[in-house]
Amino acid sequence: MAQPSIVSEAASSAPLAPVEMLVAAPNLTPEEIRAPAHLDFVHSPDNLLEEIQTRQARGAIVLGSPASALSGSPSIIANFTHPILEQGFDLAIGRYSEGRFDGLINKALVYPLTRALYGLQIHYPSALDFSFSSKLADVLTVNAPGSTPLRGPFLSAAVAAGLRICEVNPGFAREAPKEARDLSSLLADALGPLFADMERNASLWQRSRASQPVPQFGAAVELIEPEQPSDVDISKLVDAFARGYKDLFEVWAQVLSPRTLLDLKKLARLAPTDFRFPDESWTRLVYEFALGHRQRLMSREHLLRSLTPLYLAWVASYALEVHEASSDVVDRRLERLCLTFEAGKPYLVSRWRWPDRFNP
Amino acid sequence: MWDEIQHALNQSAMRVLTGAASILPGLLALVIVLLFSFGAAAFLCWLLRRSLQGIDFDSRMARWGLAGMSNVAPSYSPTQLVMRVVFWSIIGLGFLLGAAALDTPLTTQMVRQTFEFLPNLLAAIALLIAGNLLARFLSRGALIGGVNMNVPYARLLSVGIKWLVLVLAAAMALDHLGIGGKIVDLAFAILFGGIVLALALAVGLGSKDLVSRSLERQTSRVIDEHEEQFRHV
Amino acid sequence: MTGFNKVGSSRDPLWYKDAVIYELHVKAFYDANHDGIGDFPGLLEKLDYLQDLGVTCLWLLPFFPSPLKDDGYDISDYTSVHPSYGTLDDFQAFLNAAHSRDMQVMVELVVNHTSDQHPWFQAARLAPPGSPERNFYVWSDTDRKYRDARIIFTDTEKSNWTWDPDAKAYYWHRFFSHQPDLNYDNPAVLAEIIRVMRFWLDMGVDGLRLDAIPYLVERDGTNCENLPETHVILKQIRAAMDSGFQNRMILAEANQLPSDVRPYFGDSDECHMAFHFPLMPRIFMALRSENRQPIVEIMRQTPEIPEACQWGLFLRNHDELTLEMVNDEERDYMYLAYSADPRMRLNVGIRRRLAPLLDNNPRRIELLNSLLFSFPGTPIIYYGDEIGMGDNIHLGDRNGVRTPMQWSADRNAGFSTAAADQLYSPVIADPVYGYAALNVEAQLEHSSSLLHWTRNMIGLRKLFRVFGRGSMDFLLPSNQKVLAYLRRTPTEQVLCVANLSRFPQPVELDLQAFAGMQPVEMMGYTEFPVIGQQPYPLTLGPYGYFWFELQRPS
Repeated sequence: MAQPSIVSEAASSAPLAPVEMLVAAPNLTPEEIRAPAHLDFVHSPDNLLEEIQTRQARGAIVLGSPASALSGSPSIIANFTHPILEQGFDLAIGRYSEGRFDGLINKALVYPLTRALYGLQIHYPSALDFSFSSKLADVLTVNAPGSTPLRGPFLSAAVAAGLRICEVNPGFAREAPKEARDLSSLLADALGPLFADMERNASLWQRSRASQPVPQFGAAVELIEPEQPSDVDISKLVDAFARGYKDLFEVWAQVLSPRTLLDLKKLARLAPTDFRFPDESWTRLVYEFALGHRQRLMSREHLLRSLTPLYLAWVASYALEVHEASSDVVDRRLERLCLTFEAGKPYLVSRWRWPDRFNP
Repeated sequence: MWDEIQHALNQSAMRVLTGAASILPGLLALVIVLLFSFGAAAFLCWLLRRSLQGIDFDSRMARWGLAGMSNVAPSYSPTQLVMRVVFWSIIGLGFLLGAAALDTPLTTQMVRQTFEFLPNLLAAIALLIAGNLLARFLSRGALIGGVNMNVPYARLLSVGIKWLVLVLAAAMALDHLGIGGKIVDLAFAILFGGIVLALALAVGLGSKDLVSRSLERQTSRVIDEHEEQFRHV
Repeated sequence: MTGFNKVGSSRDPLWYKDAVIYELHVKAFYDANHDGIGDFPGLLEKLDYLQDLGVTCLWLLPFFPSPLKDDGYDISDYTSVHPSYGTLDDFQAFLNAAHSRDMQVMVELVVNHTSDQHPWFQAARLAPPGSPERNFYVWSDTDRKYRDARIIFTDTEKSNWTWDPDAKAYYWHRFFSHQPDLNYDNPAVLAEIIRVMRFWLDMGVDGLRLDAIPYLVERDGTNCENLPETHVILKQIRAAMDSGFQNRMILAEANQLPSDVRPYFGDSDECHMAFHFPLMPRIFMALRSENRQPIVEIMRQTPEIPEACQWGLFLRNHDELTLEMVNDEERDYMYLAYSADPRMRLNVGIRRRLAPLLDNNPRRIELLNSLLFSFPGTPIIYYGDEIGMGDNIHLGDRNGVRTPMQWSADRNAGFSTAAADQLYSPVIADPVYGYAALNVEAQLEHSSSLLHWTRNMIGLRKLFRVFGRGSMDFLLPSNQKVLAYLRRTPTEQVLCVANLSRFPQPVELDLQAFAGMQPVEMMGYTEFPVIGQQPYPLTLGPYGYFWFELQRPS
């Protein structure tokens, strides 16, 4: 097997030799990619699909996490190349160790929704670090031309093409990118492409029923506990929800069913100490937002941003439940949420296929 | 003397009859044009109704927030309203064309002035419609944005923005129509300024502490304040 | 002249158990004298239509002289006819014509209150305190008495007391301030009411709807509803009726929970019938939430009633869809589900007609009507609902559901030839429910119309006495979206199955007790597989329903 090799960008005038894999790491320099793994470094991941074809590479690795996380482990590259080059997988997505209050948008929305839709237990569908085969690159080139890693429909394209998918523990704890953006922008960025994907792939995700786990590579992930546990204060979250309930109820009423609105009304009456957002209500609410997005019941940007107070209500409820719980309990809690999303999928499918204002 | 009176009366009568006879062809033309207009209007309305129903115009209007038209014309759907506007516009146009056929200085001037005024009228209507749509869009965006930024006066901001845009659109429409002139400009400037001042006072004086705390938060924390304990990404 | 045992138009003393009642307002039905207001001669002209529809009893909303501030429920003369609707002779002619078509007629007896323009009240306010005239009504020097009584018209009234400057005292009114309550602690009041009752029964009226009877009597320290003294009054009214007239009926309007309505039947010595108010919103709730539980629960709470008594069932009527008899959460759900526009809400209810409530979906309309016709009780159809009439929420109070009947696509919906601005109310002219497309004439010509369907269902119902007189038992299959129940008499057994969901549903019914019998679908007379020991599987289409006769296999 040929070893991946480093090629300096300065020597770009000479035609480049075929390579095993390319690596795109926008937050790193070639020097920061450590030995012993030699690889072809592509600074910008935007042309990666083209480069794979040009260089006849067998695949590529995308490392989008902040430099501080990536520079920790020398075996990151090997962790990502192994499933693609040696095990024949087409997509290996990072699965990270993180704290119970990390990646909450993923925990609340992206993971359970993607799992229910595509029937695969991919814990970080929007992971910044992943590797993929040239086969997947070809699929994307044909079906989603112009798509770029970190912004492309990699997971859904892989599922649609029936390609093999696995998860990889990259060997470092997940770190969020330090972007100065407000929460509603983050939510809109996370959900907008997901909802748009649902429209494109409706015939795909409506076929799958129960979800299946995917093969795992690397060390087992674990829940990272804080150095010093502290009390959680959800009062601000509950206040944010209360404010949203007072001012945005009419906006939500355009999207949400009477049953969900009634659940929110009951939620708004709860004291912070009893604040519980039932999984069934949250699931139904997320599905109804997806339906509202599809039916263009209002400006999509407004719709996604109006979810913010509701999401904060979920966070408050989740925090209250798990802040003193053991890691097993946290895992089971999240698993319960995912199962509720799966159990509620018939509701989503029926309303997707038969839009009707007269629904419960 | 009686002969002179008779002669004068005869001459007047002749003038009237001559005048009437001279505009008779024009009147006939007016009647014919009006009849054609009725026919054209009815046909166009039928065509319009079929096409608008085909594209589900009523429910689209409702989705875009124009269900509020039910306040103005509760018995009529958007499709019916459009049909009625088109119908009477064609009748009006037919009347103007027929009036032009009368070929008298008065009617000619009237028709010319009407046609000169028409583009301004259409522009004014377009401004009002666009202003209405924009006002709703912006006010909802302000409401959602304000709530997400924990601004206590989000609803007030939203209503203020809506009325600002509506007042602006109305002022521009009236300006296009040339109605009121400087007085209307002044009145709208005062109204506009008044709304802005009221918002500023309500926000500034009424919630001084809240604003300062809110601004503090905006400048010192660019990521949501909950990030201390909860990391969303 | 008091008739001694004057028999009503029906020979059957329990005619109301098999009846199909049609509720209408004379002013809204048909205008014969071209003044823009419906009248008795007009109603007479339309009796053929009603007979053809198959209804057997006409319930007329108040047509008595009145200032019409509450659409006739504020009565200023109990024994006459409002001049806009005709004369007493007109009424008699109509009554005779209805009887000749085998139709009974029920009128209102608004016993709780009168208009403040009634001569009784005009005399009372000027009469000295303590005098017989004064005591026709309930007076007080302060507005503090009966503080526990709730306000019913919450949108318009702030108190149950209003100051009268002429009387220099407060008078009591549970409804609008221009409707002072009669004082039933005064025997003269009851005597007058009985005289009024006899007046109409003498003319031949078959039934009387007693309006607002829970509120007849007031006592301090109580909520002034359903007091024992009220039942004493009712027993006297009933006794007066029975002593002079046969085969008549009293229908109680008591908007209470079923257990609180039960006393109004007495031991068959009070009212013959009473409305089942709490069932109605729960039917709508069950439909929207696609869950039979609200219906099953309220029927479980419905007590047994005397053999000669009957529940009155309805989906909609002239008032708002009342939500007084549901809990807060259920009320919130109903508001969210059925009245997104706050203008649709009035007092504690929703002021919309049946078709708009159901988004004009024919399957939903048929499903709910199938429940109405098959549940234990006498069905009451509100005029216009047989063609799916719409409403106009921009008209004030409850007038939006009291618009002119839509007979044809002609001017004024064929209701009147008067000028449009003379009509007592504008006709519905919107693109969905407007008279141009939605009218009796068009639906008569179209055999798949709702009108034909309703006529056929009424006809089908009348073939089976079990619907009006049989028992009811719920089957409780695991699929909560399916409502299944058995109606039985010694000679008839009917299985009804209804799908409350907008999607097809499977269901398995435990019909072991009927093993060996064969369900025969009623409408098409189609034989279904014989019932065995296993659960009986059925599949229902969206909002589908079955009515099966259970018969021995042929």
